[in-house]
Amino acid sequence: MDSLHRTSLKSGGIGYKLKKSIATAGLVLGLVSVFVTSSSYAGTVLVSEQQDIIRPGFKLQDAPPPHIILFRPDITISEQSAGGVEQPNVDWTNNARASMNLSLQNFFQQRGAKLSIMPELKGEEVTVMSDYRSLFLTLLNISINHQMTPDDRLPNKEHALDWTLGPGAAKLATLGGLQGADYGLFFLTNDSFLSRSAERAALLSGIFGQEETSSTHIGYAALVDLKTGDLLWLNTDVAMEGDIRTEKGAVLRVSELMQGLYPPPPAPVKKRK
Amino acid sequence: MMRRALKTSMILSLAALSASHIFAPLSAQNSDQVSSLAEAQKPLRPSAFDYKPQDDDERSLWLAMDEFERETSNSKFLIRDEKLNRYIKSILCRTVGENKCHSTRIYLMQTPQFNAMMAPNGMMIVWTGLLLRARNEAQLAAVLGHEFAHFENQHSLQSLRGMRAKADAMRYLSFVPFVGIIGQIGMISSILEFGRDMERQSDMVALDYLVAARYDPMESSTIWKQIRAEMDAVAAAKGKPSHKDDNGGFWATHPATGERMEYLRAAAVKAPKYGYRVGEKEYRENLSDWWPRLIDDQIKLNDFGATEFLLSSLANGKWTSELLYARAELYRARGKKDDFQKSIGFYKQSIALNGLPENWRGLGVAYLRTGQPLLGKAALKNYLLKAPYASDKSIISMMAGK
Repeated sequence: MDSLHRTSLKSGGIGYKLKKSIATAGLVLGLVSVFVTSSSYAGTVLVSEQQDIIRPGFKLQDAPPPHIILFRPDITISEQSAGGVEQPNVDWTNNARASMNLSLQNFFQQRGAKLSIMPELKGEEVTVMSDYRSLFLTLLNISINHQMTPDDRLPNKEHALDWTLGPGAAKLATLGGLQGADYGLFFLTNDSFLSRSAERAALLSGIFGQEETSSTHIGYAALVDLKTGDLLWLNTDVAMEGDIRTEKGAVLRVSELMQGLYPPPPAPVKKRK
Repeated sequence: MMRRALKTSMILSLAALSASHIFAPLSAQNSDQVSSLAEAQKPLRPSAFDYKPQDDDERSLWLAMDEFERETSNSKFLIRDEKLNRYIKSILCRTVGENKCHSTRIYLMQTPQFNAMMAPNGMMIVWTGLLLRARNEAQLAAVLGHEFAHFENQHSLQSLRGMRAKADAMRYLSFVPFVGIIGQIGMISSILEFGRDMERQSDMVALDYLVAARYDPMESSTIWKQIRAEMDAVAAAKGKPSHKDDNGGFWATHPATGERMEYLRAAAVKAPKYGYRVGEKEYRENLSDWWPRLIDDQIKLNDFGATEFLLSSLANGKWTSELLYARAELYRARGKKDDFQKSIGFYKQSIALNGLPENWRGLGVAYLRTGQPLLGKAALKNYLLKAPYASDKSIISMMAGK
């Protein structure tokens, strides 16, 4: 028997896999079936800690002020039991959803840009968004496997981030009654914190010389051009800092994930005497 | 390091199993004797109107499942046909009761394998492979009732709690030299055993639903008999021993199909002798629009034994034009020696019964593949005449030499 998620969750990217590894845990706990369902536990292997790539020649202009739409971010915060069972925490997740939106808005406001949060969509619009999200996840997967992994670069895309959702992605700019957006932002953070008993077990693991378990903090952010559909910038990170459950942590998380979109000004060159 | 890795993989495997935990007593059984005070304290059932998750564990499961439902509702595999959805829902409602069935949402997924799943937030997933294999309303009702019983008795929640507690215990046992590993195996075994108990419980609750709805309870055993016969047919076509009694042994998440067939049969024999119905005619009528598509999905699985078995048992001696067309397509798709010749025979029989225009397309291609170009092109031209707006018009025109 095929596992459920293979059919209903379509192919996807690493972000998707990140998500899937968590969703799978939730799914296997959540679903009961009439018959054998052979679920494979999809783990995720991201090699590097943090990487960002940018389309050659792209720079977010200051003027006119860019307008960015934040597509519904994928946010899950779980608690991990001593035995490794990960369970999403509803309050943490809902709080983080609110604090991430706020932090992202502040982040762009401080830099003279406007961030609109995509409202809940209805009817046909849901399908359009869902289709482009799937397509984006495919691009994300390709970018990670064939751009961020230098050994596996494709011959015709040797040097540059050169992938696009196609000009049809312009439709995304007008979903949910929004207007005049230049860019779209995809955003994921998945965090898992050790429960008290997991912390005690981790301590024991240390004493007994076993490999220690730890909390996980993975995420990505990606910017697409809503006129051409081009993927402009992508940042992935599997070892982020900060406790996203706190206000300060949320701000830190945003600045980490958005790193690279606004490169810090070059350090002033010291004049030689 | 090795041991740790092994243990991790064990825990992950565990997480990958729909395992279970302690039994929830069936509330309905003793309801007459419950005092009014206890009645007031009786915990809410998920089928209750406007039910909300009651604690952090349940909220957590709902959060994960609500997200999953969000994706499922956008799936390209989802069948949105209102008529078919209404029909499937009506069978669930008849089975578990109008007052309860509306707490669930059925998602019909176009997936040719046999299964159905239930999430704790009321999302029920039904694969079309189940619709293909059930022969009547009573059989479908048995499976829908089984899933509903998981939901009503909060099996996912019990699974989560049980697995978490036992996985934790396993982690601590890993600190105990030598003896620990035996304890860990015991824990795994106990998680899985509780899972199988929940399956048995749901099977039996579903049987009660069938009796109450006056659907023939024996059909809940019969469907497993059919599934086992199909497994035999698959094995025979591949020349391998049948897996019908192989449910994963130690790792089994569900009782063996033979065991389920037997205990359901025994219980059905003891059920009160009401006037039951199976609803075979209604079932066929309501699914008739979807048959060609569902069978087409099944053929594309490239599982000759299972498909031939399904078609033969659906025909049960009476081969309709649709079933003949499906059989012809099946043989043509396999394309072994004599298969094209056989498919030509089936297409012709189907055409004689006023079958689909697609018969001419298949016939044409089969003629071409057996080195009969004149007959082949003529058949393809006939297809284009009968289906002038076919989506594959251009390629068939080319093959027909137009």
